[in-house]
Amino acid sequence: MNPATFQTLMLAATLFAIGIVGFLSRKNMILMFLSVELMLAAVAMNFIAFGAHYQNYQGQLFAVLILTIASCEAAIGLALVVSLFKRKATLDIAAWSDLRETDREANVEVPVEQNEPIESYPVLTPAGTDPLVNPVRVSKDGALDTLKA
Amino acid sequence: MLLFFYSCLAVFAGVGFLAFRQPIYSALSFAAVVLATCGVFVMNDAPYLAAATMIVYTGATIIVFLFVLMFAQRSRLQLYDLSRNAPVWSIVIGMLLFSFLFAAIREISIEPPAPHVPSQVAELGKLMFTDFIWTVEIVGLLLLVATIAAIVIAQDAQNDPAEKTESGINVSPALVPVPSASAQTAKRVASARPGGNR
Repeated sequence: MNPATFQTLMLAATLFAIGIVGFLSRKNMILMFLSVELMLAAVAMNFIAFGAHYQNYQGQLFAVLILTIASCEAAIGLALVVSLFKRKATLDIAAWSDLRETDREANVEVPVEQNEPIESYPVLTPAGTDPLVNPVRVSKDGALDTLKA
Repeated sequence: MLLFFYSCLAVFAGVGFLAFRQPIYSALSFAAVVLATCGVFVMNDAPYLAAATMIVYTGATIIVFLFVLMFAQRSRLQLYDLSRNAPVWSIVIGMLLFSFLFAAIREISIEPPAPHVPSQVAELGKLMFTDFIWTVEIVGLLLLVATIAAIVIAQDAQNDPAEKTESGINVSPALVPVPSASAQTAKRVASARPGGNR
């Protein structure tokens, strides 16, 4: 096989695998959607590679069609994501786990165990005069005037 | 050589797309993947496709995605962006898929490449508007339908009269966050901090 064709096909396979890993592991709905777009772009790259291999323009033509389908998908998918966001005010995909199969257990969000709160916090030394003890007032001629309590 | 460079760039940006926590960075590295992909397209004699991908993906799709992300996302990292859904298993599945694809690509034997003639966009246009004219028309129609569908779906979410009368199922009013374990955790973290939840 032509090394350039082989390399392009391998790149497409890698991008497809990256897309499926992103789709399975991400929890943000928009990023899951972007992963699907990545997989679609990888498939379009296969068409380009074979089109360049055979010096044939039909591969490019099918890639143009895929590009069109991808933009349709992006429009509808984003509209769906926005309407889902308006329902629950979160992009978390686990918020929609009610839609699962009835015999499945809920994919309950296990809260990430936070570190123990820090025992002591740094303390800043108060500087200047305490305004409750020594209120500062601006007199009529603009000078600062300190009133003794 | 340049093809290899662009491929490496695409793969690195793809790994960044998986690894970044901040979703904005992920979307931007997706844009980087698509730009590197455009370089690969140019190397593969498809200059028109490179320009079209750059305009459609990077110029339109990514920007719209970024708009939605900014509209939906607070500046603070959300809890669901910090963790991954079964990361080990998804990487294993991805590696399996990649190894199958690798084996398949090594296995296939295709004819030796045709003699190289420089690519001409006019040839692609000729093909598009003679042999495949109906395909192009149908895809254009699909684009129109998708536009209408997107408008309808986005409108339904705003004022859906069926929402309240839906057969006893009380669809919770929009924009009421469900108190979940994550919210409680966030509250606990906030109370542990001296400055509260900034």
